[in-house]
Amino acid sequence: MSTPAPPTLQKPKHIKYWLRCLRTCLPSDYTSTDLNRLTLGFFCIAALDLLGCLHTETTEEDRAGWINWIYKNQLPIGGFRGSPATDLGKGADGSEWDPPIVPASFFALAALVSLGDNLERVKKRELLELLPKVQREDGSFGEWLGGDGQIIGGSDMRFVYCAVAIRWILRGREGKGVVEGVKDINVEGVVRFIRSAESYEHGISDKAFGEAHAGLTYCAIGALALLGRLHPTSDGLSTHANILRWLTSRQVPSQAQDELRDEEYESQITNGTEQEITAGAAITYGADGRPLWAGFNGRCNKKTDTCYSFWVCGSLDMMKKLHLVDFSGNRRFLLEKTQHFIGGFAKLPVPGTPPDILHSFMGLASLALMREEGLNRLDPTLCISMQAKERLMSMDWWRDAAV
Amino acid sequence: MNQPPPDSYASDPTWADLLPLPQDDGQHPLAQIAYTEEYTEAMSYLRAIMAKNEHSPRVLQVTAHIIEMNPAHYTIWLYRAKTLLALSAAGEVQLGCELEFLNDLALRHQKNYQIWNHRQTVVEAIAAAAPAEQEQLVREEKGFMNSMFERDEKNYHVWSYRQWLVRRFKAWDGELSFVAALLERDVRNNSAWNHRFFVVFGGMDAQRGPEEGEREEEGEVVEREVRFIEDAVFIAPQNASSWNYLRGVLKKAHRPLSSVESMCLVYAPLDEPDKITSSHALDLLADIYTEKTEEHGKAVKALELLAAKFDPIRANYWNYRVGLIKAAA
Repeated sequence: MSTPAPPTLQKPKHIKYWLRCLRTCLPSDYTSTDLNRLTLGFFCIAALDLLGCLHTETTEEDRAGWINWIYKNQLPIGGFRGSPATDLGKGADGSEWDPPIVPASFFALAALVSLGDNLERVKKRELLELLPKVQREDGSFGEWLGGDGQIIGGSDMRFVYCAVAIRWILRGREGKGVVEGVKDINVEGVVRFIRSAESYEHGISDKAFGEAHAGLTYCAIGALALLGRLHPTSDGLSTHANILRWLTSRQVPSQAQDELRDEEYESQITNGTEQEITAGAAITYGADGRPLWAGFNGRCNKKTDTCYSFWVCGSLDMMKKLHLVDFSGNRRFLLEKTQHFIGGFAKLPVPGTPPDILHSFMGLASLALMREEGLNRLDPTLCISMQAKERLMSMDWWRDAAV
Repeated sequence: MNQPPPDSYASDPTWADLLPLPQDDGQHPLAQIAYTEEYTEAMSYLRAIMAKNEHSPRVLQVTAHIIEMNPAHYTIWLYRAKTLLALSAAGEVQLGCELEFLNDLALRHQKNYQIWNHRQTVVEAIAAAAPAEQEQLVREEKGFMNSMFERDEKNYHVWSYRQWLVRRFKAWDGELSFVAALLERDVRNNSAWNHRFFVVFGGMDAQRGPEEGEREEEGEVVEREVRFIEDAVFIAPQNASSWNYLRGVLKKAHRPLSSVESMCLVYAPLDEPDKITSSHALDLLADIYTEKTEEHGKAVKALELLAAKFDPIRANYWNYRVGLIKAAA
């Protein structure tokens, strides 16, 4: 069977897609993400940064304007709100209904660093002081602090990652700098919580006995990496060998086995689904016997989805084991199955699925990890470009603090 | 309980006393959204009433209205919960009605996660108010989850909620047969396998006293689980879920992987590669043989079969494992 021509990243289309996201209103379908506008904003900025055109396709004035907008969402008590939608006006500053949000605060910092801001206007002490207040006894973190000091939000690995990333950005790797005398988070508690959430499959879940999930696994490994606890001897994972098996097992042919019987599955893997056969796009194998398209799923026996190409590859990259995946299969999955003709990436390898901001960023991020030509390198741990991370690490206050 | 939303808040007498608080997006906003007029107006009234921190029945009206348009609005859920609890304490609302509201929403917003968090709060409050009716409550909760599973048997939030419910109300009875029925329908449902692990081992831990050691019947439980896995593997040898579960059970029971060598050989006879029906059996055999230096040759053979023929996507990974074995020699 002949192998089709190699796929390419449609870079100009991606640039157009992201500029459109930045310069025009998002369609009203995005209303359900209204409270996460700082997160969406981060993806737009970071995507253009990965595409290497944040400083060429936008003006100094644009970037200064966005930086100011992000700071406008910083609260007087420190930390960032998730969206101007919760801004209750001057009289209500500090209201319990307009609280600083842990994930929004992380994405605000990451966007500011990507935009070239030096974080001078960040209320660092206040934000750092918030972190131990939203950490629970079991080591996990909440999403925000309620009016009566109650920790709000499910026990969730995403908040753990965001809290630890804020700490790393503001305190440095050793956790001892920038702001002297601020109470630190309970690091051992974090490690213990992550360990308790490792499932019998050896992926990480939301809590003890939850199902292993690649997105949560990325958050856990990222948190351990940022705490300097991701090394084979003294980290929060049972063993690296176990988690490597689980992570590499996430890569599957793009038509994953799901609710099919063995014979049906085998036939689909060999010949393609009926839909694909009709479309003349049967799954084929390359000369090396490997499937041509192989994305990643997030849980055992689930289907491939663009975002898991990042969650899994990012996790493996932090463990210095990214080379164990099939680059070609992932690349072709992204470029031929989910890359959209208007730019961006769709969530699923299903014709007719429109691109969206989250998956469009994740697709680029996964390709950047695999050193796709034309993309800047991505730091897998902070999820920003290497240049942005280096800029942070060379800021005066950061350098002084980190020693 | 939730009054239907007004055609317009501005012209509704219930809302006449409030000055709407429009959104100030500021200059150069990021990720601006083309809100509908309906959402824009309702949000302006929500901000106004939140700024007053009011906990009255009309809060339920505006929050239900916005949740319908944006169920991922996280602060609104807590605001609604606080209002509900205050009104319920004053005897003005029945918390049971809130569950009906949530049922309808959850069925239509399968991926939403805040709904389930809120549901925990409401169920806790109902249970605290009527301890005698807890059993009935748990039964109804399980019943509702079944209708969620009919739409998506792998919904992460629902499974997570189910674990909370079972643990919180010690509702372990019936869980094993529930999960067995799901696996009978789809033996590849990994969420169901995971729940089985929770029920069998989480339940064992929960029901055992803190000082108590391993009970005698626990050995029987492990035997039962291994038999269950054997049946599942027989039906679908190439199903990763059951093999992963097998590894989990063996580890929990402190049994060596080698105790299932003969079972693996049924699905992966190393000497007759044409008869191999499971890459997972090969993988497990490779682990078993890696443990003994004199069997390293067999381990390498299994890994090479995986790389070349039975799981070529992961060729890099299998070759890496061969490298580890050779480095150890």
